[in-house]
Amino acid sequence: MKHDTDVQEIRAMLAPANPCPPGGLDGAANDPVGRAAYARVTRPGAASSRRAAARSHRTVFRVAAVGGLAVAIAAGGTIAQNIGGTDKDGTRHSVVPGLPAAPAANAQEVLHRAADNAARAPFTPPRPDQWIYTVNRSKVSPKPDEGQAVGPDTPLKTETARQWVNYNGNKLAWYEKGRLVTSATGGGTPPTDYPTVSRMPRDADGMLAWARKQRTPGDANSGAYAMLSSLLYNNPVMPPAQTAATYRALAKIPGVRLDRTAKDLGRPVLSVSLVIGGWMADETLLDPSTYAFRGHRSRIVKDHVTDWGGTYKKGLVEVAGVRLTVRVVDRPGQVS
Amino acid sequence: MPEPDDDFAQLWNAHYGDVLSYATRRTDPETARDIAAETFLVAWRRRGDVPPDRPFPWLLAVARNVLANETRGDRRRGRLLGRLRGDRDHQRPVADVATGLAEGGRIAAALRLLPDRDREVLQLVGWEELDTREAATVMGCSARTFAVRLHRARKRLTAALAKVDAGSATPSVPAVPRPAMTAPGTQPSRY
Repeated sequence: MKHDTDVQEIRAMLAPANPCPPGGLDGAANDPVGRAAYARVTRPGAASSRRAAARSHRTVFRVAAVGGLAVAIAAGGTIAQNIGGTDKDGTRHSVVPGLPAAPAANAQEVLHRAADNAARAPFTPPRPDQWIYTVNRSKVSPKPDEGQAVGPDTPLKTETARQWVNYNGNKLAWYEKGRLVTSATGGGTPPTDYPTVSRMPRDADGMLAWARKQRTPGDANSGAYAMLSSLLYNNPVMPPAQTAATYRALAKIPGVRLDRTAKDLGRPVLSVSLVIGGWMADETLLDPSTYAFRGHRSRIVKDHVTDWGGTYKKGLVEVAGVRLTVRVVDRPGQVS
Repeated sequence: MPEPDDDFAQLWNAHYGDVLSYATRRTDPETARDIAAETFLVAWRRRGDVPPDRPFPWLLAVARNVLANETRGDRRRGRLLGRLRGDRDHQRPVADVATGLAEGGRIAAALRLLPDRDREVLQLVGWEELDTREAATVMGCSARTFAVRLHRARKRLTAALAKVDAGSATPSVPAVPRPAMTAPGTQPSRY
């Protein structure tokens, strides 16, 4: 038959020009980016959310997908990466949704100390042939379905993610059923590769201007905050100048608060946070003695009913993640 | 994490890679991930509409629309134009870059000379390896109409190849989509 002949001939002709041969992306459905996309697509409310809202999550979402922890964040449907800060009991500095930012001076002081320490710390840049190994552990709240609620008593799910990202940030490796799996990764905003990050602004104003220029969900401050904290989270090995600039840029964002009584997954931390949307504190967690980056937490500070009818109760830690290990190694799979 | 006993998870596991491949063949890898995710978001929202026996053509029809919107959209314009300016080689098939006008490059050059619809008709069969009935679903036409279009596109491809071989193909064909200059309602161009 004429059409069958056409089909066969066309397949033979076009095959050499196929930019992505059949089977070339096998496994993408379950690589970290794919898993994160799945979580976002199927999260409660995804179906009813407006397309524009779904799209607005994407920039940060794609980045979030780089890490196992971030996969959890994406699955949680939070805006981006974390941050937030909050009072545990609501008494010390009661979080007033939406400003004004009262005790920001403390948070600024902490962030400047973190910047000073980062700038002073000994640092050896990774070589182009090296990989960055990280272990992250997270606790994640389930999503409330329509008519359901999650709160401080809801059991959280714990996940540990070990992964290796190469110097150029375009390869990601992890163990799956005992086998080392490598996948393409990268792209998106903020950058997640060492070469690009090392070319970013080295001063606070430049870094903040960069963060404000990026497209993010929510208002300008929370967007810039999410972008900067995402930069810290997604780049466990950053040059000292850019690390310091990021902390100092965070210190310039109005509304940033400090909580000295916070804990990550059990250990005391300093929490620097911004309340987003009036109901969720996005926290950046720092070591109380060295001010080094420890992780992030998203904490509900006011009861919130989502657009799909699920309820987040005040006091819930929606997601908390801790960076347990960071090492520069010579090959994927190497842990020390 | 996908649950294997869930219909949608099965759809995801069976077809996400192929939908992503479809998008990757037509745009940059980063945008392709977005296209794939958004395609499945539509599928999730319209779970009841996905034909259980032949879901893939249905998914590609959605992906094709998402891609068209994406390429037209203001949101991507800046980035795509950025790529237009300085990143052409990155956008071209690897074989094309590596071997110049070897076979892959020769075919790719000829495809670029074709109208968008001809190119898509050929690619659905040649790259996505759909049969005429499946490809017709993607294009939103009857199988018979598709077969006719395919036959004509095949002839035009042969003519375009002759042009490429004669060295008369215009070198100024854009290497990447030019969304800012695409009229509403037209198909996204590739490369």
